[in-house]
Amino acid sequence: MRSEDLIQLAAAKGPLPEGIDRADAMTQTPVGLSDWLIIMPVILPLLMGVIGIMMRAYPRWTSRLTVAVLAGVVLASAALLSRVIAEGPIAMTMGQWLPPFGISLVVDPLGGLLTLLGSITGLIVAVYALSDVDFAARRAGFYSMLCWLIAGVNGAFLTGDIFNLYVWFEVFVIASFGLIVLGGERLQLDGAVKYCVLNLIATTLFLIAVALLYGTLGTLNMADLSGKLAAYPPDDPQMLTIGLLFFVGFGMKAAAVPLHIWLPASYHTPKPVVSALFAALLTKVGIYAVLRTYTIVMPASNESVLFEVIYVVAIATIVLGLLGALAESNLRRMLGFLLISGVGVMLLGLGVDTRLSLAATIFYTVHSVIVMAGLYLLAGLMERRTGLTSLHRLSGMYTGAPVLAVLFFVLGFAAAGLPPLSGFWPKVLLIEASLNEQQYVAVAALIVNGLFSMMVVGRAWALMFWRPVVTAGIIPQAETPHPREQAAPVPKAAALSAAPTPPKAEPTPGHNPPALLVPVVVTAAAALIIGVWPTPLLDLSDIAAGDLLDPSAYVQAVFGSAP
Amino acid sequence: MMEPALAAVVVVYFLGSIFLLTSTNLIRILLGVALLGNAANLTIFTAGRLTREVPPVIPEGAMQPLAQTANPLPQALILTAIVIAFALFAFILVLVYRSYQELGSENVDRMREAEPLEYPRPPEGY
Repeated sequence: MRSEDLIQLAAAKGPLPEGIDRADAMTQTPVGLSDWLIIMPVILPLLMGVIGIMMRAYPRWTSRLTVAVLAGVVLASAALLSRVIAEGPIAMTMGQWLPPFGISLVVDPLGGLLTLLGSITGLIVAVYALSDVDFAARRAGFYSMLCWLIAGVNGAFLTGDIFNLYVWFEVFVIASFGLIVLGGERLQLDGAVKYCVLNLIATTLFLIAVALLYGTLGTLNMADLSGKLAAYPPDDPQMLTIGLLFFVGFGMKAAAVPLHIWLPASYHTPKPVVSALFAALLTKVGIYAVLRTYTIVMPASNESVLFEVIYVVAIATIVLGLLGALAESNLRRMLGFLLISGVGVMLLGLGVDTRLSLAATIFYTVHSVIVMAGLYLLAGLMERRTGLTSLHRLSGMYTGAPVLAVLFFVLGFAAAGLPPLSGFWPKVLLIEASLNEQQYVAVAALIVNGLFSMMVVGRAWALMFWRPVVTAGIIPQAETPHPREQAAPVPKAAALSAAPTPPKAEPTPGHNPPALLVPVVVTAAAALIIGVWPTPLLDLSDIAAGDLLDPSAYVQAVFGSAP
Repeated sequence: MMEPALAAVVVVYFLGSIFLLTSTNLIRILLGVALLGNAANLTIFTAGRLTREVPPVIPEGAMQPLAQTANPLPQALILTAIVIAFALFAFILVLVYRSYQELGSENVDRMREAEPLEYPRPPEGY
């Protein structure tokens, strides 16, 4: 449609003068109705966030409306993904400027898949928050910030313009700043300072990389960059510098060693539901951005030394993340280190850099979003139930909470990669890909990862559920209790009654409202189903990896014709 | 040309911001972050090539600018980046002030609430 317009315009205007870009880059045709689907996952939550702020005085209705809208976003994302699978990548151009001048939204299988996951995570978290987040926090805009975070994350997954990617990064970063301090406890403020400062530095580094890239190539459109970069030899010093800057910025976002320190410092401080949202999505956006820049935007650097850098960083991340998890005695911090080791696995797939390993990375990303959301929500359930976060004190829960025991078993061992659960397949694929490339260090790191994460999860499960209830005597003398525990296990109900209207589902100690279990059960079921029946996701990951390695379909979607 | 001169200015900005970022005082770190944002904006500006102040307007009837004009795109990018950085910086200033009130220190070495120094050993058995 657009390409025909261009051809007609070009024919009408005659040949272009030497040495300038196409000046007839305007389109007069309105965007087709079916193309509006592409922007729905971004614009619906954005609008809902605004409506939520306007309706702050009615938190009960606002939260229900938000859940309904997020369900709509999930449907829109699913429709979008199915369309992309059927037709290949599709693009939509904003305003009347055709690419490379206007900002395009492009959906390829990877972007579509991750948009669907981001929307599903938002819905799960919103449903959980219905019975978990008190009305005071809802009045402070919890649901609006949740919507804006989802909009920012989806925007980052869908945009086809690298500066626009920066803008979406900042959209979800500012939303996450608001969410991480919601509640304003001392502990949260401490974690938030570290989180905010380091994330701001990371996005600024990304911006500097964008500036250098623009200065070198004179364009910001990813598809256009892809074509212009093909002229550069691998390991061109300018491109190496820019690529490394991108990796530092995104690696900091994704919590890759040695820039991971902000994650264990801050992810155990906010409300559990916020932790779950962050753990599921924010590191994955970093991974997605690395994947996108290193495949579509900088395809010429495929033989580059940068991939060796990524490889080394990935292995360090896998090993150090697990050592951190083994040395932890706080449940949520332990999960944070497990998440970091998963980030290492995802980066390793990019470091090995074959179609199979990229497919494994994409598969692992899907698995990590689902399982990490579930595990953090589960940690929140256990904290609600006992008021404890320390592995020294959480004990004897098997008798009191068999459902939680089963859920932690499923989700934990899915994270550890035990068959027949979802974490098993991507690791197997990645080991196979590494063997094909004779990358034996990677194979060893993955096997160590499997063994150690089994130890971490198994130990946590045994301590929390199997062990009989402990008295305080077992805690080492040096332990100052976690700040959350200093005020003894006060059930949160006491704190909630200070709110003007207490929520409908008041947590009584020892019992969580069943509605809270539903989102966690859904994630555990998803982990099990993906593990038992991985074929659809495997095929989808393979298609997405193929599209990453061969950007021609992507470029064609943007420009409407092959370059 | 002006580019090398501006590039040197950018270097000075980066040096200053890195020096401030390595401090243990939160206020200095914040100033470092602000300076880093400005350094990034100057980088964009310099990367867009500097020309004399000719506005990028195409005369009526022409298909392209007749003279070499200033590049409008870096300016649009910088405006966007300034607005974003300003909003985030304002938020972080308030956050640091609140944490100073709560934690009683602006020295990052003494902000150990989330990661206590006396951290317990991991469970070593039943």
